[in-house]
Amino acid sequence: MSKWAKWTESTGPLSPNVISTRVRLARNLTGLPFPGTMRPEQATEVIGRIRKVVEGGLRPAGLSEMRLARMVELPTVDRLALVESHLISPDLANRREGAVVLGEDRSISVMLNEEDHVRIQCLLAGLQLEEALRLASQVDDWLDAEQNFAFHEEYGYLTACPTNLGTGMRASVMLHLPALVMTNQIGKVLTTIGQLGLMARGLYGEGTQAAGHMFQISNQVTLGHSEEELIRNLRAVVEQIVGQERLLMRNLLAQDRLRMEDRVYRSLGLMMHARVLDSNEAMSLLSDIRLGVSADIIRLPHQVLTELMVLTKPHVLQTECGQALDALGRDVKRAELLRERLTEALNSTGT
Amino acid sequence: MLCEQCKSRQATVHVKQVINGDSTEKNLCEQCARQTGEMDFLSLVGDVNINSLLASFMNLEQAAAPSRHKGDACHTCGADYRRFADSGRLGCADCYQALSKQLAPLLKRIHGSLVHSGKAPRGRSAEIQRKRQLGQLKQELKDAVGHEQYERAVELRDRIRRLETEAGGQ
Repeated sequence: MSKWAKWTESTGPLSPNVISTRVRLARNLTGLPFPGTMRPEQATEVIGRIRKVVEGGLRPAGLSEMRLARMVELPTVDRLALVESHLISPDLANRREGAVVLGEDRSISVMLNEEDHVRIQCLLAGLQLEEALRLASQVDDWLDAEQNFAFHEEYGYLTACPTNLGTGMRASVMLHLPALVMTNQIGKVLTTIGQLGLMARGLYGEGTQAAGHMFQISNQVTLGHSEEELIRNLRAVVEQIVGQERLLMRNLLAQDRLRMEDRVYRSLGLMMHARVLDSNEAMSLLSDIRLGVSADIIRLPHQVLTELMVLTKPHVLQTECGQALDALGRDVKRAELLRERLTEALNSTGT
Repeated sequence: MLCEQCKSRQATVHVKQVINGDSTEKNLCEQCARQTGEMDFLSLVGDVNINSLLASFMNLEQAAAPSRHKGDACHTCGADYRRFADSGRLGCADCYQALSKQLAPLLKRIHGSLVHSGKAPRGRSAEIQRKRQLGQLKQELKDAVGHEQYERAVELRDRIRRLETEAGGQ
C-alpha cells in the first residue's frame, strides 16, 4: 500500500536484523564541470541529457518506468518526505538545480546535480547486495550508452570527491542490533569495522546513542578493488555481525527471558494504546517490537515495522494523510496510524 | 574536580597556558570551555565532518608538497590544488590528470591503491580488460624468469605477443 518505497514493503535475507541494502554509483558526464563549479545553464544541460534517455524510450527489460522531477517543482514537504524515505539526500533536497529520477517501484532513484552529476541508487529490503548492484549497474549501462560517463583508464570513474573515485560505489547495509547494544559490545564491533576498510555509523541519533538500535555499515574504499570484491567483503562482515547479534540475543533470552518479554510487551502495550507519540518515541518502540520479532517473542509480518518506521516520519506522515499538521497534530496522527497498522498486523497472524 | 567557571559540572578540559614564562592553569567543563572560546579545537571535536577532515589532510599534503606544484592548474576548469584543498572537491574530470602529482599521495592514503580494477564502461571494457590482462601476464613473466621457470616464461611470452598483436590489429 505504501507508495513510499519498495524497500519498506517487503522482507529480505537476514531480516529482521538487516533492514535494507543500498548500492550507490557516482557518475559524471563528460565535457561538463562537476556540480560544485558548474553554471546554472550547465546544470540544466545535465538534467536535459538525462531526461532525454529516461523519457526517450528504450528502457532495458526488468527496469520499471522512470520519471524525472526537478527539486524546484516539488513542494518542500514532498522533498523532505523523499529524504525521510531515503530516496534522496538532504543535500539534494536543498539544491535548486537538483533533480531526481524515480523508478515506479522506487527501488531505483537517480539523483542529478548533487555532489556528482549522476548518482544512481538502488534500495532493497534485507541483505541483497548483489541484486542491488546488478540493478544499479543496469541503469548505469543504460545511461552511459547514450551519454558517456567520465572514465579514466587508471583511476576508473571520475568523481567530484576523491573518496568516491574508481568504482564510485558506496554499498551500505542498515542493521538492527539491539543485543549488541544491550550487552555493550557494539562499541567494539564498530571499532573493528573501521579496521576492515568499512565505515559504521549510528542512524537516527547522535554518536553511539543510535536511536532504535539502528546502524549503517558501508565500504570506505572505492579504488583498487572491484565492485564484487567490495561487496563480498561487506557481506562477510555483515553476516558475522548478524551472527554475533543472534548469538547474544539467544544468551540474553536464556539469562532473563522474563525481562525481555516484559520490555517487548510494554512497548507493544504503549504503541497499541498511546494517543500522542513523537517521532523518537515511536522509533524506539518500533525497535523494541522488532526485537520481539527477532527473539520470537511476538509474531507479526515484520515488514510492517519497516514501513511504519518511514510512514511515521514527520513529512511522510503529512503527505500520507494529505494535510499539513503541527507538531501535536502529527503526534496524534502518528499514534493513530501505529495503532491501526499494528492491530491489523497482529490480527493477520492470529496473535 | 568541578569546573572553575560554572562550579556545577565536572571539569573535563584542563588548560595550561605559558605566556612569557608565567604559567596559568584553568579547569573547565566542556560547555564553559566552548563559551570562553579557549578551546577552538573543540569545535572540530564536536562536529567531525568528513569534508573538513579531508580538507585538513589535504592542507597537510599541500604543506609537504614541493612548492613547484603550486602553480599547476587544470587547463579545463582552472582549478588548482589550493582550491581543491579548501573545498575537498575537484572542479572537473580533467582535474585528476592536471593535479595527478599532488593527488597521488592522498589517493594512496584514502584507498591504499592508485589503480581502478572494477567496472569499465561497456564500450571500452574489452580494451581495458586486455590491458589489465597484459599487465598481469607481464608480471607473471617477470616472476617466472626470476624463479628460472623458463618453459613457463616462453609460454607467457607467446601469450603476451598474441594479445599485443590483437590490440595492434584493431
